[in-house]
Amino acid sequence: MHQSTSNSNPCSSPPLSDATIRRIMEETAAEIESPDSGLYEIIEKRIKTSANPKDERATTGRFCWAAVISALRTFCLQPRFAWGLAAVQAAIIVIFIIFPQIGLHTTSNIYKTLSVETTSSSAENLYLAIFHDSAPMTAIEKLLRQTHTTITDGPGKNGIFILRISGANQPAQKEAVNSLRNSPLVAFFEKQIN
Amino acid sequence: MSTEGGSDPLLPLLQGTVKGDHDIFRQLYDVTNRRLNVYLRRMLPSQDGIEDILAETYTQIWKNAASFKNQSQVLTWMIGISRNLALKEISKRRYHDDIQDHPEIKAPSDNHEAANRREIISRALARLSVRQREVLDLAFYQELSYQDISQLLSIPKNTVKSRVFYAKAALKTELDKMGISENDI
Repeated sequence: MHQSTSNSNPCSSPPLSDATIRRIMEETAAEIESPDSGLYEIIEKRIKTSANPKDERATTGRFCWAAVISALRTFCLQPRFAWGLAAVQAAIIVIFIIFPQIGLHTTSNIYKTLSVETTSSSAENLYLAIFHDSAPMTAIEKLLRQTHTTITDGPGKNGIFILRISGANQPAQKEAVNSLRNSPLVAFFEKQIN
Repeated sequence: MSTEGGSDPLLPLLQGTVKGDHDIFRQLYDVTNRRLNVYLRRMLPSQDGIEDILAETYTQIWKNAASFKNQSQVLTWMIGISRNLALKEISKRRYHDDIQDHPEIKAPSDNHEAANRREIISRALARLSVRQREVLDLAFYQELSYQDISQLLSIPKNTVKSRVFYAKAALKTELDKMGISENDI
């Protein structure tokens, strides 16, 4: 509303009667010049280049992308729809601010090697290990070969490897565990608990 | 204001247009062009390009006559087409319009000694917002029912009623400021 009208109290004095308003609208309309006399010729030229209304209906009866887009555009121009769309967008933004993890993470925070065995019959031989950052790769490989150990998964988010000790018997496996646990290359070594 | 459900004198003309009859379309143009022209001139802040919009309105009416579903008066449907084109034009001009084009800003001070009564009334009307002018035009010049205005503006019927009420009050306030009472009109 215009500044000068917004401050007024519409109930302070009796309103103008409908007849008066009608007279005002008609009188002010009378002051408006009629469209140029040549306007219809312009319209006629335009409609001659377009199809007959019936033909138009026949063509629009079929699936027509232009008509769909036009209808969609007209629908989107409705102020109420525009506000609705803005409200939905705002709601989505708020949800992402409040719950930033939505859509970005799944159930697990640790990524997995695709080939990892999720169901292992020898789960009791699985160990979690973290190697020192300074440990050379060749030394780690040598240690794993000596202890008959293979990496089954990792490194995880915190640098954790899952190792499987495949010693021939229990004393051999125990010895391998001791070797790994006491190795200067290994920073952390514990049995995996399921 | 027209009553709802009455017979629509423009319907046979639109039906003739659907059949592709140029003479009947011309009649439809002759009967309605003045009303659409007044509506557009009250809607748009700048008077430039109004005839283009009017020409485009009638082109759209010709093309889409067959899609009229008889759910409102023919004039309401035609004004709806005109309104959509006017709104597009307003949004196009919004970013680079000239402040001088706004009638409510351009309206001179209330020195009505030299001005005649009709000029003052026009000035008072020009000081209303576009929304208020539009609703007064639809209700009291185009004689559309509240139901038709509600459909046209996509707002509830009660909102139309309150908008008309506030527009009337705003016009009275402007006329009071200019020293014009209802008896002078």
